[in-house]
Amino acid sequence: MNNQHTLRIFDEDLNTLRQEIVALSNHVSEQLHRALTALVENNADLAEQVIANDRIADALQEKINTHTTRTLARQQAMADDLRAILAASRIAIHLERIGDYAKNTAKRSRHLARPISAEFAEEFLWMGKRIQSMLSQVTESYIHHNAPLANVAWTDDAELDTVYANLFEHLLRMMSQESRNIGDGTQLLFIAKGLERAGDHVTDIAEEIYLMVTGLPLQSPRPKVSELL
Amino acid sequence: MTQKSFHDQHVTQLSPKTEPTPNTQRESLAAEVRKLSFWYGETQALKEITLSIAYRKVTALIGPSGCGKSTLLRSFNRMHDLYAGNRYSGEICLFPENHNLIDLDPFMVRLRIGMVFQKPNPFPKSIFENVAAGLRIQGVQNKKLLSDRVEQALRDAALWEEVKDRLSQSAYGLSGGQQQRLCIARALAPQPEILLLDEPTSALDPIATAKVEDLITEIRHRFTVIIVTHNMQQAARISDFTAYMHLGKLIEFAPTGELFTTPQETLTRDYITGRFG
Repeated sequence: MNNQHTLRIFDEDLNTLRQEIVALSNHVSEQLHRALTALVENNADLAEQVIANDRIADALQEKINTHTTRTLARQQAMADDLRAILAASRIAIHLERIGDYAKNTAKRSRHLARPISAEFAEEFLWMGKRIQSMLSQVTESYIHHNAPLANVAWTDDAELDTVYANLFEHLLRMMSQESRNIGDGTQLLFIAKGLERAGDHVTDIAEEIYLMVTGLPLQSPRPKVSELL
Repeated sequence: MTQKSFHDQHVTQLSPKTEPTPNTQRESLAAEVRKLSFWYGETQALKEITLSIAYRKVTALIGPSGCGKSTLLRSFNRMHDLYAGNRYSGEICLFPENHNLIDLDPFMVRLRIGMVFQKPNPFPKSIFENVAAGLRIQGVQNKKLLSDRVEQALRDAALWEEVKDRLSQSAYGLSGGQQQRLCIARALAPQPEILLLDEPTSALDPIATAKVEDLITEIRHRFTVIIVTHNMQQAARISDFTAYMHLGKLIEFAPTGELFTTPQETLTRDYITGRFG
């Protein structure tokens, strides 16, 4: 299969889009890591940095949006080129939303009355690492047009949902044991829910990549978190 | 006065040359190309093309220069017969009779299948007489009927409002875009079963192109259209089905929306995404 366009500027446009998606993915992955570090280490300064750096994700997403519109207008793309441009536009929206959940985690971490326990820290960090791992997989699959790898990331979300369901129960138990835990417990519930939603956005990205590469929708039964609770 | 259609007068009495196509298929097909090959002397330009032409739909033929798309289009009205040494094998069957048009009289074929070329080529006559030309060949003599059919054809070609007050003036006084729409009106006037368009907008500016594209989308509910175009966006905009040809072969044929978003063949994908050659 020939991958070079006769019109080389078209390749440049697509490469630029690809680089911007990778940059946005790396940025939100790092934001997520720093937000969870701020949470478990009770580091307010780090949380502030995460909140401030969310504008970088917003700006990158806006840039990608502008480039996809311009590329569509200039190149009248067809087939897999068209799917790649549309996928970039939609993937950027999902990545930006993951960045929002990282920011939200950082914001809520500032309102905790007490540092979180080692047990909860472990569960939150596990969720964060799983999302980062899934993000890494979808980014790799995006760069290399690897549909099976996108499918792996898509499947991995089921385990994240299970851990979220367990964490949800643990937090409810903590709040029911002592009323002074309700404030922190509520903040942590929202953070956990945000992480679970971030995982869903990664699966949406995996679906976009699968469609981009194969031209077919990624469809197979996968349990929803609502079925696990 | 009710005029017997050309089809009734000249075609229905001919006996079928091939096995009849099932009735359900006949209703949806205007024609079917079956293992059609064509040679310009010793040079083979078409290689066993098999293709269905949907009834009252627009079918676009696309492909790089020399792929055979114009050769295939011209086979439909036997243009190649004008030059010695050209020969066909295979069939182009017209429905509902299932007649192989290669066996019919070319004159008769051209009255059933109209054609419009790349460059507007009006006759050195008035606007009215240009459109009436095919009707007169068909034998239409009644002035009222002639006038009505000319008006209808000019309306179909979205030209009536622009020329209704100067029908007796020379067609050469029209702009390039208007001349091309006049040629389309001339081709439509005899009510052809199939209208062939060979890159009909390649010599026109964007506005004139848009008008021609618009009229094609309007007439497709009453005429079967086959269009050859180098402009893939044009094929994507106005056709219902698209055939991609390469080196005399049909590589892929699909509904237009599918072919331009999820082509199944690598050659098609490379061509429509601009990776060809």
